[in-house]
Amino acid sequence: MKKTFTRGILAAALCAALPFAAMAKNTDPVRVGLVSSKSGVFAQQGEEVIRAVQFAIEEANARGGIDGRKVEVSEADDEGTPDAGRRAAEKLARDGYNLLIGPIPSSISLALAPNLERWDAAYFVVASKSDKITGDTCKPRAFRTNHSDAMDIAMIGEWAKNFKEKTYASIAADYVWGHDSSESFAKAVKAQGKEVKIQLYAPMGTKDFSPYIAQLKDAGVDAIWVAEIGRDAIAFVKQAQEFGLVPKTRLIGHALIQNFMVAATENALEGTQGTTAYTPDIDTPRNKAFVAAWQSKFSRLPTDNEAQAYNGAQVMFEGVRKAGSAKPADVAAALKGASIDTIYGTVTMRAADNQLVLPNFVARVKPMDGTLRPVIEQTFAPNLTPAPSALCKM
Amino acid sequence: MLTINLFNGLVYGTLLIVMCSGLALIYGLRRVVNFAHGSLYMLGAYIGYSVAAHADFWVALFVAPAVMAAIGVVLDRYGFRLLQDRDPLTVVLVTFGLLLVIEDFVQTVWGKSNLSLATPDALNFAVNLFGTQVPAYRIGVIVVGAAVALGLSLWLRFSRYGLFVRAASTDPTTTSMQGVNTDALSAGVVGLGTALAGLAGVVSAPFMSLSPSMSADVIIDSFVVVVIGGLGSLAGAFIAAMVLGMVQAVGAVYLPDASVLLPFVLMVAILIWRPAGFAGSRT
Repeated sequence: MKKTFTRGILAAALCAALPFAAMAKNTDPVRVGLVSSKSGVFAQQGEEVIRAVQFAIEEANARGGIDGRKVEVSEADDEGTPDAGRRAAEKLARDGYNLLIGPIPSSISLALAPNLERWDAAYFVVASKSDKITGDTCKPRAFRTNHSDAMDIAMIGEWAKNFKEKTYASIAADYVWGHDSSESFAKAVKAQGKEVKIQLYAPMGTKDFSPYIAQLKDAGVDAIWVAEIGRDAIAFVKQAQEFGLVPKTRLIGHALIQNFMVAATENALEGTQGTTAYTPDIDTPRNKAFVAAWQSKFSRLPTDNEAQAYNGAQVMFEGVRKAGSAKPADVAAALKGASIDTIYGTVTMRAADNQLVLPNFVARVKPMDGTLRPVIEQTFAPNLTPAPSALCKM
Repeated sequence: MLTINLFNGLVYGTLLIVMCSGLALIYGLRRVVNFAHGSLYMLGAYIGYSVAAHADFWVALFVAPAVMAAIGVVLDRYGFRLLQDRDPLTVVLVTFGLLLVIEDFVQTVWGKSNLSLATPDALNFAVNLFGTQVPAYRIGVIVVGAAVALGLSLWLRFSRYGLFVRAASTDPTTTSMQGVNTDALSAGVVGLGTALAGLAGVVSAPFMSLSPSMSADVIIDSFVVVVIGGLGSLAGAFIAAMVLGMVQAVGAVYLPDASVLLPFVLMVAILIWRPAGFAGSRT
């Protein structure tokens, strides 16, 4: 009789304690606010980012969540503009989906960063490259998990030392990024005693590049530096081929040989060298696992944009794991200066400016297993990353 | 160098002619400022892409405008005709809504990726033009544009239906009182205008890329052309398209810093000089 009584007490105590046990296990979910372009100019890249972040979330949930926390996601369209992006992100953050990820252009990232404290959110940049994000607009709760312009440009300086050609021209998009890219390229090759004959800037949204191509042909250079983006880049490459500028003259691309551009220009980019943020060949255990999982789900290799978005989501999850909390403030504090195992290998989230210090790559477009895609030719170590900007004060 | 620049201007100018003659025709007859014209151009390009993928570029060159013509007739019958007594602002809003619908439709059917149409093999070579190599395909573009301009001018000037169109764009009420079925005529003209937008789309596809945002690329230039030329005037639009094509091609080389601004400076200057545009003597 006494025994049963004790048992009863124990059972009752156990039942009463169960909810506490559940709470102690911290099962409040990880809430991801996925804001990216479903419409507008960046819809193509937005689609890639959304697909990859969802993939990362499904993968994490299939493994029982992050430390037992379920990952939930809510999506919104930033329409490719800073204004709509800020509105969409604020809505998600206020609804509790306050671990933000996804926008493409720097303009949107720069519009989100100053509001993170107010929204009680944290933001993971996966595609925006402007130096301002980790420069004068750096914020304790904004983390960049992709390469910055400064990182690319530092690599260009190194890479240009091995260029064989004597004379160069450049064509770049007529805004800050294009000008920076073109100027640093010119500086790098001039330092090698080589000549840059003309530097052209085409307005954003140029449809017909023939006036520029005519000038490039006229200059008769050995190689051309191309810093154009999106549809402009596609139009330029197609028309350069049409006018016989390529393959006669070598193109060297800054962010040119992205998967979607190779796909949209048929064979015009074959053999073109350029900077690249990711290719499936990166030789790390996590990348191999990622590529295998991606292939079994989509029956194709991940693109550069997809991999970068996946990487951003992984960094976010790692922050949750390290913090033992899904609260944006805790996650941000835990990531500062943290060493993180990513698809790029073990890398550091630099404490001074919240920039993930990554290796960087130069690739060439080649046919591999029947498809034309960028294949890494040269890897530049993470220590090439320039020092944090003095303008960043957190 | 100048030869190639003038050539480039000519190519872009003729492309604008094909595009804008549709816009001008529709305005002339229906008094509709058709914001969706750029989307119709895009839809034409995408339909051309699909037809070319299953058959051939040359088939696409005829099938896409034909499909677009049918869409245009439906658009007139169930859109513009029902709206003809409404406030012009309402009609503008409807065409703007149509633009959004078509854009979403294209995204749903063809996806958001940039697509690309190959240059047809028969025109994939270079031609020596006064010592400069130019792609044969671009000469083809000029031929198409010239054929459209000439065909439309002759049709309007000498055919019976051309006479009806000219009459109806001057005074639709009197024209219908004379026994012309202006509704049927308008359906035909809107169909023709839409087909021309589709033709411009197919023709430009091999040297531009296809994306759901491509409509915005041309619609602004097209409106600049139509406004400079005088709303609803075909001859005015032809001249304005050529001028704009030249200004853009030559401006990009000799005045690169101002090249984005030039079309608008031109538009402002011409509107100050002739507020109704080149050919806008009528009110």
